[in-house]
Amino acid sequence: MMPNQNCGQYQRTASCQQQGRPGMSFQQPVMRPRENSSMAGSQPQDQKPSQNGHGHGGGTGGNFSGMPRQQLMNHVMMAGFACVDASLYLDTHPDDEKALSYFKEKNRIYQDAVEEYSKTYGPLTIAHAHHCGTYWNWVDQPWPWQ
Amino acid sequence: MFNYEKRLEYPIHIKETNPRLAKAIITQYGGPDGELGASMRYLSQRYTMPYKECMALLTDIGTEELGHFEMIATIVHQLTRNMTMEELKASGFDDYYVDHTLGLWPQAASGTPFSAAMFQSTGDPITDLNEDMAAEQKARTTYDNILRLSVDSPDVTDAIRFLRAREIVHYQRFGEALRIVQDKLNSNNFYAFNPAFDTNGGACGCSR
Repeated sequence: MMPNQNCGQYQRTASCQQQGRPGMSFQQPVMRPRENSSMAGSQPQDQKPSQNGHGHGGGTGGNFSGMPRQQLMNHVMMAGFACVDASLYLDTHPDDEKALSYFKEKNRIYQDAVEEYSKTYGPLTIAHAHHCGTYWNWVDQPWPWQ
Repeated sequence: MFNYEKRLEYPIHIKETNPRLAKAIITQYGGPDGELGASMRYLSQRYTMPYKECMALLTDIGTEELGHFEMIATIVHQLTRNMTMEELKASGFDDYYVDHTLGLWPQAASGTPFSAAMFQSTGDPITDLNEDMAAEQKARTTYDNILRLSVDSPDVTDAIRFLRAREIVHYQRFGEALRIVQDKLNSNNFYAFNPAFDTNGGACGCSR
């Protein structure tokens, strides 16, 4: 049997493709999980930010209120990934204004989602553990490998 | 300072038990081109990197690699957490099990333990960044091989494809970092000296 030459339908997950050097154009990363993965059903925010019923424009933290745990976690992951990918690009292109404005937009969504998740379902970081009352609920949240 | 965020970089929900596949994938936990070595490589190299953009990049990619280290551990854990003794013995997992039970331990698929000898930190930005670019391609090749071994495990290949894509993006970024370093070199000494150490340019004794 010949090995699969393209390693199984590899799909570009994220990239900022180089178009000549050193002036590169910034391209928005898109996280595209498999259809039946846990993230199915969530619109990639890069494509249709206003069609998922939870508009992200305000940055107030209230946009995610009432969202089920897994769905909210998906927003944390998508926005968090966009920030990670954009930050690496910005490290080597610190004066790219388009990338910077993209990072700011995604980072605001990410901050709002993490804050709402921590408030509703338990802290994602120690810095968000201030929401717990008389019990240290950091130990209660499922660990990510579970 | 590092802080922990209680989530994976990309979701992993593996329902099947497959210790044979886990034994192959653990190579990205502690093998020669694995995520632990990648993280330690970049986080060690950054201290002598003389240029701010490259110092930031080594820090941020080294940090992301720690998240990938956690993803690989999660894959191995989920593939083995429900296995029976019969499955364990039939799959050849017994030689790992006898030392570690189901605990995670950084080793290559061959059983070779993780070692700092798997990476370099030379204190020379040109040398280090060339190693970093090679490291990303070597890890990409390993993920290609893992994908060929895991075609029947869609929950696994989903996460491995994500990790493979990140190797390609990191390679691109390190290439840009190398370009930044090259742009700052004295054209009379291009590639011929260590810009982090030979501050006068070409003072290593390599030319008269």
